[in-house]
Amino acid sequence: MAAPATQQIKIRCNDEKEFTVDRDVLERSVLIKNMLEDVTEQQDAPIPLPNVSGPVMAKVLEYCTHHRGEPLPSADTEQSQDETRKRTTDISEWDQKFITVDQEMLFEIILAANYLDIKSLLDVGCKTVANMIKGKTPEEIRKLFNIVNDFTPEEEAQIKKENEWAEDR
Amino acid sequence: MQESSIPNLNVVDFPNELWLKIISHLHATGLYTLGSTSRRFNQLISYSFWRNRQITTLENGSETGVSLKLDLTIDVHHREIPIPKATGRTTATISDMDLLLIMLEPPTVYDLGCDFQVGGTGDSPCPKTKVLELLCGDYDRLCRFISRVPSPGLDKVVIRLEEADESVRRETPEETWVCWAESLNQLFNSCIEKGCTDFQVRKGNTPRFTWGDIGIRHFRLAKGADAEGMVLIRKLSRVVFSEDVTVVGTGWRVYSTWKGKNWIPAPSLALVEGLEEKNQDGSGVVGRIEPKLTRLGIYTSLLVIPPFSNWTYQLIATSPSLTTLTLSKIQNLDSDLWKIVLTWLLEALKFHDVLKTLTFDNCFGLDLDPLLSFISGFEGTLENLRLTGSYPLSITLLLGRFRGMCLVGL
Repeated sequence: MAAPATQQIKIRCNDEKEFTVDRDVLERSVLIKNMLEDVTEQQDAPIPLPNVSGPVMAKVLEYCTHHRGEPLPSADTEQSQDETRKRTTDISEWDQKFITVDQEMLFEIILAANYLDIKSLLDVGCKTVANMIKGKTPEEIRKLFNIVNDFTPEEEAQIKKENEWAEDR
Repeated sequence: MQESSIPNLNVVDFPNELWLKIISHLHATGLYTLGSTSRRFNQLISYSFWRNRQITTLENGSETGVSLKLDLTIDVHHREIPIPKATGRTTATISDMDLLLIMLEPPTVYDLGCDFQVGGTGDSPCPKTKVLELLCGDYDRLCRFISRVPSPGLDKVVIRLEEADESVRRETPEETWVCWAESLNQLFNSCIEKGCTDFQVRKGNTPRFTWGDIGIRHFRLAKGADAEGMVLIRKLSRVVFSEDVTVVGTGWRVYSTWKGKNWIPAPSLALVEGLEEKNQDGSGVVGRIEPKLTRLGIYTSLLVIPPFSNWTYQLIATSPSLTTLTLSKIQNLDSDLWKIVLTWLLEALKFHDVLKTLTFDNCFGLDLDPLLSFISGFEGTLENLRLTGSYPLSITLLLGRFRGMCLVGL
């Protein structure tokens, strides 16, 4: 395990920004991990990451560096993890601080985590968005995310009716 | 704070698969509020609710003498298919699934970005995917998709017609709708070629887009109602009538070509009883087709609005071979009418002794007591009662009202 850990890998983002990172840090990304496994020989050319920009990658690497060495969630445990993960929005203190960024950055981190296949980071991002939704009214959510209300008046009435039901109980 | 490199990135632009992840972290209240913001989120939440959820019940005891099994799953298990990005894999292999639910955006808006392949890989040559449920408008792609299904490989196809926004509709030229309707027609044929015998077209939950707008004028099944239409209808064991008069016309126009060349504007029971098949040239009766309806799906308004109500009740009453009855779109009934419908229905089903599955589609927001007394007053062979709705929260609420209900997997 220790042997390849010191290996340095170069990556290049879509804005030509390059990073040189320890292999074990980068391997938090399943996408890159798989890429590296496919390449047997040492390569000097940086790995191109066309879907990620430099500033976002910097944030992602910050996350990966902090969490280096933690076990990666394996595909087998995914199912059971899914259950426990579900419906919880607890985020650890460090992650909480880390994800306190402006909305656009948050969304980009989520997209990058999705693309790079970094499950735990994707989770943190999704939980954060879920937290943003909590405690708001539909109107507030629409404003927050620029959602256009496309319900017909009838549909809205129906939804309202169901809301009353919910309040009944 | 760091600046974003993509201008005007909006979380709304996230693909559905990401939203489903976000939704998976929400509790009921959050789900509810998000679901109240727009149609897309309402649908996403319904979808996420149904995933991996199975609700079973129990019989309601000896008190009423009826044994019920309440089945609220959408028929079978299904799994989310992550749609690979264009940059990633280009082929997704789908196997070991009983039902495949593909959610796509309305036509012209969305590109699938990959091709799907149904069936197992070399090791598992026996594909389990038998039921296909499509919610989308990109029929050309779906045709290609279906053409890859091993033949015969499909038992059932459900298409939910998703409608575009008002604005999209206004801007979409007429020809596009024509093309769209034609590819839908093609889609029917592709499905039939794959051995599909149970075919159902469902409208989306939204009432604004009527079939009359595009369907009847450009929809070949209805318009031509010739050879292909007949092939289609003959292979079906299931007929779904809809509330819209023109759609009722679809069903009946197809029937009417069996009789001759005239369109019949309004359905009558005589038509059902007297279905006859004639030779190609219209001469001589080749055979008589008995109305052996085994599966019937109707919009509830057909039970309410005369003259349809009359023949609909008669159709039910005179179809003793009915094993499955589905009532859709119930939520618009006021409670008095709802009681009347149930009373009449009970009457119409009096002598049915093979009816096994009764479905109330979209029945939420309604007074449930009449439904409960209806069920207890039903002394048939009913094995499955299905209650479905478009909104997840109400399902939970509804279930709470059934005595002895137990929820699994919530």
